[in-house]
Amino acid sequence: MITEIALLLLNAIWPIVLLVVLYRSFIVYLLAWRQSEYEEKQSWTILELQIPREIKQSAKAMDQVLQVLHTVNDDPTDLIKKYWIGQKTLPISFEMVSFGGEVHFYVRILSTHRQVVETAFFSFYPDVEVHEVEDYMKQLPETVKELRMQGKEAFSMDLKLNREGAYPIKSYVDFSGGEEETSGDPISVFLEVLGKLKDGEFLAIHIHGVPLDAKKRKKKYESLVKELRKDPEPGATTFPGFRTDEENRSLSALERNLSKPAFNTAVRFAYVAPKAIFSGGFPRRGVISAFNQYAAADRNSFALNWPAGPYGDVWHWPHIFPDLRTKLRGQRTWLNFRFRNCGAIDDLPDVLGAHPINSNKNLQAIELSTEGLATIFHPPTQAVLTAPHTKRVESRKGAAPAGAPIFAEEKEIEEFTRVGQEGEN
Amino acid sequence: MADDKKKEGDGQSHFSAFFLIALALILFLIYTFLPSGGGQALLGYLPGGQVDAGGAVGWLAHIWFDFFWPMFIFFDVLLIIGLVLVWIKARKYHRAPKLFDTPMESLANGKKFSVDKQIRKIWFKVVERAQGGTQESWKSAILEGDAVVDLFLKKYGYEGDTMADRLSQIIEQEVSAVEQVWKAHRLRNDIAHTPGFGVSKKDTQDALTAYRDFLREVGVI
Repeated sequence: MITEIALLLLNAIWPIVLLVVLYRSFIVYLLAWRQSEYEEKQSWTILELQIPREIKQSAKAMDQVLQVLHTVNDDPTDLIKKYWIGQKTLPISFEMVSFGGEVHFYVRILSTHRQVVETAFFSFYPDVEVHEVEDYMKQLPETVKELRMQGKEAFSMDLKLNREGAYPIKSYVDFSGGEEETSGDPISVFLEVLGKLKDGEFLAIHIHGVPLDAKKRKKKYESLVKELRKDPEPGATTFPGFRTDEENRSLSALERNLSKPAFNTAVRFAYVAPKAIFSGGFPRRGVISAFNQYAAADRNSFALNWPAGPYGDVWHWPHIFPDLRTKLRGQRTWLNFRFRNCGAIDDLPDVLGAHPINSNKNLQAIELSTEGLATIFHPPTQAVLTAPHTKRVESRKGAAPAGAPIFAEEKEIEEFTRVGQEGEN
Repeated sequence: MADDKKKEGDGQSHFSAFFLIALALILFLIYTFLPSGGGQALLGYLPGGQVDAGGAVGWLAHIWFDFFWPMFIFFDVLLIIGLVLVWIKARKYHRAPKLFDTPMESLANGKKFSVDKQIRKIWFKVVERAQGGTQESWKSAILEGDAVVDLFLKKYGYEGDTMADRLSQIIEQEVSAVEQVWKAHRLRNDIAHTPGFGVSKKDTQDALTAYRDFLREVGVI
């Protein structure tokens, strides 16, 4: 009787179970297809930030720039846009790159949003020059095989946060406290690491960010804040019956972080060098030690995301075929880096990039508030300008001298504009 | 890992309404079993059973199996067709890493190739030819010894337009004899491109030793 009823129940509900599974897969593949098509149509602009000899603004100015960039949001507003046009917010990339020791700063953004970046930088960093340049990634081969054929080796790795994204990292506010001689700019460590490269080596630190919806973010961490905020029970006998200083600091930092606009980011770096001088350890340790500056016990910290890393050793799950997995993972990390693919930023699984034994689902999104992101990526301030590695603007541009005859009669102006129009035509 | 689970939960939000309807239907089905004897009535809908249900439960079962059940099957079939279509369309954008085998990897990891009978056979012929003792036999031995190394490079997947391109993918840390092979290769180029170029017995011995050491070191002879 029991088995018969169970059989009947199974017979009755299997179409529903199947429907749920199929529906989910269908939606995922549909979105993957439509969004790929949408992405293919977009054109990108790489803007290089040329740094002047002297920047007076601290990272706070970059914070403001990022708050402006946070408004760049293409989230679909209706179902047709979402499921058929495949519209989605594409990431803005902030890149610190070193070609054999020469450091460059880049911002990569959709060509349609280029104006936003330019105006934001012009308003907060009037001395920084923003130029469009060719994508340097085109110089790099697309696959590991081609890379090896050029006699080069590569190592690329993703980072993750050690705690929930609600906890902030140490920011420029903490670095600039105190007297002038003690205040430092954390970007100097990056500049040192990037500047130490020898000829022929290449090291890039990429931060790809998608603006996060503030309301959703707040809702996501509501329970965490509630738990931290919970007052001790009135009759608590255990000591201490109240929050410690560290817990208080942690809570206030967390709430401050949640009140700021944030980006969902993928943070990764890659190192490429000719085989003869390749050393996997140097950039790995250098970069992670630079990122280690932002760690604090009562806040968050960065760590290497080994499950998404380039090595698949026997002691990593699923423990079989270590050589095969290492090979695939090496290619996977290179592909992700080369094509700036940041799977974890949106919530969809990366079905198109999945391989039967390498599913690319170990990437972790890093939530960074504008404050945190500005601390990692900003034009270096005065504190580090002794660093000789950065490519700089050598001359200052300014307005014409006050007495210069820049005014003219109406007639002449008309003539000029006419000539200008003819020239355009 | 906990984060991963959370993320999956977020992603499923767009079909939660659908899931609720499905749940309601399942609950409805379970409910039909609750009155005593009702379950028995439903058994008629088992494969091979007889439809003898009566009353409210029988009516509900009738609605379920004769109306909703086929409808779900219909949607299942639609979704399978849709999934296949979308999968085919999306295939163009596949960017999964491809598995390839480069000899460079195994050499870089300190591994050797196994003995290759073809290369071994040709190599011994070259050595025999070098015993000839004349200028011509020395020259042809060097040319052919070079060709054996090139054969190895081509056969084991080193790509490039010229032999120099292929050979440059191997560095000294991987195969220490490669520097000597470069020297021998330059000698071979002189022989091939300069008419009347003469080689001594020692030159021949050095060149062939370089080729032999190289082939031994990578493990094919």
